[in-house]
Amino acid sequence: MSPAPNKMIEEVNVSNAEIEALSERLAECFGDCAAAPDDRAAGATADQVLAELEQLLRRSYDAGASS
Amino acid sequence: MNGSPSESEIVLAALQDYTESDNPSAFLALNSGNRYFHAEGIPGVIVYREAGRYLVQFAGPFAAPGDRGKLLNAFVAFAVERDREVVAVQIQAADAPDYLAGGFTVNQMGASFAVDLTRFSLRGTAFMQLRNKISRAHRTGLVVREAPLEDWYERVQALDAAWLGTKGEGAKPLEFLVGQYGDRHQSLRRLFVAAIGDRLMGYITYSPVYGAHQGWLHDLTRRQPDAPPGTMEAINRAAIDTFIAEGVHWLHFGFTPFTELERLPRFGDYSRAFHQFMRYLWQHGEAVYPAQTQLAYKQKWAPSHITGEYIGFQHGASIPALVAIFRACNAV
Repeated sequence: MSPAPNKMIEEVNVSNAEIEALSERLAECFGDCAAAPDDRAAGATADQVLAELEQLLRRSYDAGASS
Repeated sequence: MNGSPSESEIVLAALQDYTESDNPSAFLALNSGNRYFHAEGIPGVIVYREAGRYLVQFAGPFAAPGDRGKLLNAFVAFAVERDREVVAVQIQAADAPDYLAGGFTVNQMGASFAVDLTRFSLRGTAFMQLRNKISRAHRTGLVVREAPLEDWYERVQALDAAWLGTKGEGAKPLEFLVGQYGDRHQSLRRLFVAAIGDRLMGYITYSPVYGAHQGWLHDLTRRQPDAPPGTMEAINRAAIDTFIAEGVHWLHFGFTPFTELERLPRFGDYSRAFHQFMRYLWQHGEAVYPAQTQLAYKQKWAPSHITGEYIGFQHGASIPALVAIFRACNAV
């Protein structure tokens, strides 16, 4: 049974806000990596944020696909 | 006397012979500062720069279709031996299968744009604004002509210094993914200049494009800070008129990052997060790269041929790998 429509919209809206927030964090991470002579630490943080965003996007896609 | 071809000549031959990937920016492979990887027994070349712990590859392998995957694998092995990781920029759709087969993640990074000159005209209301802008530029006394670099070299250099000065303190000229001039391959390029009297107001260089969409690449574009509005448009108009008269088919405007992200092919299990980040940089990334401004100029000419430009990550999508590309370009 698929979620009620209002809940789906709420989930999508929450997701869009999270997507935007994570995208902003990625932009900050890009700047941190660019500023660091050795970007291994900054790069690890950046790639964690990327992974978090990936998870969110795939979850959002799956939620949309199951409607 | 050494009769062997120079490495530069070998690379040029590879660009001209191996055009199946149809990369409109391939000529940039000849930029000074690039390094070249060859593998014994595999004809062809890979072009790259080193940036920190990355080998940043420009374009896909310049090799016959059956050899591209082998050459790429050899390059990856070369990188591993040196404790380096490969990130490839401006790979084309035709390159994607070899990268996917090699375990790379392939994501779209932007697009390239081209105009079919056999169908091009500035007539009609769609181009009225552009025609008017060009006319106003000419009314200032601006004259555009094709010229040999040697006659304008010092003025071009002086203009470059003035132009760079407008980019802010500490601004560095971009490299790697932008054209050059004055090197041994200058005879293959074309230069169009706009001047008021003897004063150079702007110039555009055009580099050759080989293969199925043979033509010219609208390459380096520079102007005086006080050049009349429409200067660059006037130069490109003159170049287009010349190319059409010569029967040239395609004028390429090259790569703009973060563009056309919604309708071009995506490959394999691409990174959704990286794709979203490209979207974000299109909307908010002016400080990283002024993609919207650059695209606005290209769209004035109504390009009809739009192709994806892709990035290949050896170990999955990665922000530091993206930063390495910008480092290779001298952009950070």
